[in-house]
Amino acid sequence: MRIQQSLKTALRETKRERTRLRILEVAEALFRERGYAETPIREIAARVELSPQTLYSYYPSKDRILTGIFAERQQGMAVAAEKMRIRHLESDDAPGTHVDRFLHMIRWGLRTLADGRAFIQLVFLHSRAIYGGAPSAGGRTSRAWSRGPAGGR
Amino acid sequence: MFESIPKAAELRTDVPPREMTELYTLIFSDRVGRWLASDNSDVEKLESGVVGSLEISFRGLRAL
Repeated sequence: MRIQQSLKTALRETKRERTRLRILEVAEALFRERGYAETPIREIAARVELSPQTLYSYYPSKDRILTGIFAERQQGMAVAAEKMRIRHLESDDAPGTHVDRFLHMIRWGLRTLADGRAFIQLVFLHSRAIYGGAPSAGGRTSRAWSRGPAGGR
Repeated sequence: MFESIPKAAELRTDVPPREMTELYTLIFSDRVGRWLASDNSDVEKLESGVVGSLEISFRGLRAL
């Protein structure tokens, strides 16, 4: 009985996590396609086939979805960086000096960061709105994803 | 990551880890922050700025 209960709980949590990731995936695609400001939360909910109320139980606001996407990316980058570190810094047969390999890693990190430049700018802009200070609506950082299709990564 | 820089860059220095971390946090946040806020999205410019600053700091720390 207890095992059955644990299984049910584990299944429920797995399903919830899958839905959470799906929300982030759909939201990211919509933000890129239409722009952040032009994507209503109900549209994200409809695409994930959830009611807005259910979506709010995962993320209470659009800003939180945005920071959720950012957190997922950060986590992905941390995992990739650790793999790079092991491959380039811990491995004895990696080419170049230790310093060369270290700088190679730094370059890789910066290029990965650059790939998400428009997105990071958007997160910073809205983080200011969430955690303090008003967003500068006409500022440079609002341009990329706020504009929609033209402002991809 | 920043704490591991001295070892990774083969620096023999007695600069305390906390100060070392502050130094590299400053280098990165300054360079990356300025790049994000600018109109120039050229990643090579960012790379050369960060790597250049790191190399200067390595040389400076080795000379201590």
